[in-house]
Amino acid sequence: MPIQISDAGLDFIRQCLKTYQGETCFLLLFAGAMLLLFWLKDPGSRALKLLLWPYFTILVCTVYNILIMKVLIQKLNFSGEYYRFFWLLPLGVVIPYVCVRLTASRKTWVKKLLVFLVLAVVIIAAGAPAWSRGLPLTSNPYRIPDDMIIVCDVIKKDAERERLSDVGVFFDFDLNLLVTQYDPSFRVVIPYESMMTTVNTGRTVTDTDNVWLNSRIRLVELLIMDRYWIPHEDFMSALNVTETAYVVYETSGPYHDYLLAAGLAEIGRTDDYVIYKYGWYFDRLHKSRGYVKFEF
Amino acid sequence: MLEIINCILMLLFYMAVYFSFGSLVTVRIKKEKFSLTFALMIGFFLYYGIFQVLAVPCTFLKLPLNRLAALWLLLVAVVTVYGAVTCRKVWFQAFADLKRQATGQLFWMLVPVLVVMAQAVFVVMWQTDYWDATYYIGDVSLSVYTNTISLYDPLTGDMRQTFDIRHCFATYLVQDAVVCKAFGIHPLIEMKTVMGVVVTILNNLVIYNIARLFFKGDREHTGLMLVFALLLNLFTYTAYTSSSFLLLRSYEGKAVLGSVIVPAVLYVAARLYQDYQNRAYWWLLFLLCQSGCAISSSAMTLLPVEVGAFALSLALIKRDVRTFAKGVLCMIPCLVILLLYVASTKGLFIINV
Repeated sequence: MPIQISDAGLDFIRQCLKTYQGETCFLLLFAGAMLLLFWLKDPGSRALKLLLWPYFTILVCTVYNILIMKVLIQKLNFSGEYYRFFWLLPLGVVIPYVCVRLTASRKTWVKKLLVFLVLAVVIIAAGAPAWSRGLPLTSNPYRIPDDMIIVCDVIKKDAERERLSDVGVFFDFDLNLLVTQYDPSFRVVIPYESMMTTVNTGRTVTDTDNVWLNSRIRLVELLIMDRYWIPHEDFMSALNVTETAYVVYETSGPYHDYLLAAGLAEIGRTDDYVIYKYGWYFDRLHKSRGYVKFEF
Repeated sequence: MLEIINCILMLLFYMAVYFSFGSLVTVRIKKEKFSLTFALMIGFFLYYGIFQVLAVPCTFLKLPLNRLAALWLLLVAVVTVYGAVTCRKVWFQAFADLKRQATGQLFWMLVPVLVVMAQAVFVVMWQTDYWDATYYIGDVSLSVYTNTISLYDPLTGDMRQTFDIRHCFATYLVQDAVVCKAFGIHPLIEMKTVMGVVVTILNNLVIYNIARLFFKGDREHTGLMLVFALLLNLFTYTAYTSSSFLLLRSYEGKAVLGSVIVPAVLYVAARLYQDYQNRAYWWLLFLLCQSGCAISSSAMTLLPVEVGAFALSLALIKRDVRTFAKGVLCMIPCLVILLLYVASTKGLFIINV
């Protein structure tokens, strides 16, 4: 949640700065590097100092001045985007520049190497590595989970066999975020906004009388939020209203039996997801095409 | 394998086009020795600046994406060929100089290349799926699929009722859609991988040019600065830093803004500090502001602050009020778009789809 100026008041910029820096202390390195510019006497450093110190002072007096920004942020409502003003601090230039000056000022190669290593260790120790977020390594050129690709393939093949042009699919939360990026030909039953609103507010169908909206909320409640108080007929009605043909549900989810009892049949699975086909939807589709169902 | 070859070809395409675009401008700057890296950097901004001029009217006219793609490719082809024909002698000279210099300083000339490669490998190796991508990459995917220019809202999947004024001047995504449509490349590959590497190269080019300026062309110091900058990029991860956008969310215009445009303004400001009466640098500052808005909507607030602060600093240092006035003139593209955006939030500027 971004820091709101209405809550933080005059402490807003300090709180933003603290959040911006997180667990690292690279702003301290920047401050140190800016101060070291005064100590360095070569023409390049003098020019950089003359250029950056007035610039930095103007920033402190304007965009980092809470008395001015309080009015502006409230008027333009950009509490959530304020952190971008910290990008104006030239730390990506000043810190490396000062590091080079400190390294290059040594006379011998050994000393240069030692200073380089010390400074590298300081930068590494002061920061947090980009891989600390724990992102997985990619295994495909799209740089998305393989599950997304497999799920789309399975559904696409089945939809082609069924000669279905409008393929409405309920995707599990993570896949729902990705599917429009990977294959926008699917009709996403729960648009991103509806899903996020329902998940974030935790609201229930009783909040509104809109059938279209209620149906989507009902599906999100059961399949994403694991709320098991929805009768089968309500769930199926939600699938019908949203014209859902397929449901992609987490393998570890608790309601596989529930889904099977609601007339869904498994047509494929990955390590993390099971792909269901909604029988009633296809029965209706076949009837509308005048197909005769043979019983053996 | 085919995807890797496609990515490499796309990279070569972008670099050739930027280089040609940039050369056309930089060869005309007085008292400026032709530089390969400077031409590439300026070419990038010129490319997006010109693209915005073409793409915004096409968006409002609701032209199909394939028509914009055809128009743009035609223009790019003409400008690139014209650039190659008119600047070929300068290019040959610059490459010959580079070859001559390489004999003595090969190691330090290779360092920037190695830094870019290391950073590029880091950028493309992760499986990144930030929620923001739903909007940014979803917008491009939908545009390509529906053959429209951002007419569909990727968050709802529905056609927009009105144009999104905040984003429709930032045509960075439209460019991706155009390229995907024209070359049949998947939006996820174009935005995450190809542009990821392009932005990495550009980020290093800007730092390289800054280093060359302040170290007076010393290759050892310049190479070392790039190594420290790489370390800093890799180890300043929080959800908000420009480095984390650069490394993990390069498909967003914000990544270019924080890591390429903002330092590029610093570079041009430094050139102005050397020669504040050289009109060419003021034009470059104007180009940065215009192309900045073409790349990220956040530029409309960030760049006026940065340009204003530098212009005021220069005015104080040089004791010349007109310097600040020139800075304000450079901000005009940002201020116009900011004004339109504020008007749209107040309901005064709304365009129905």
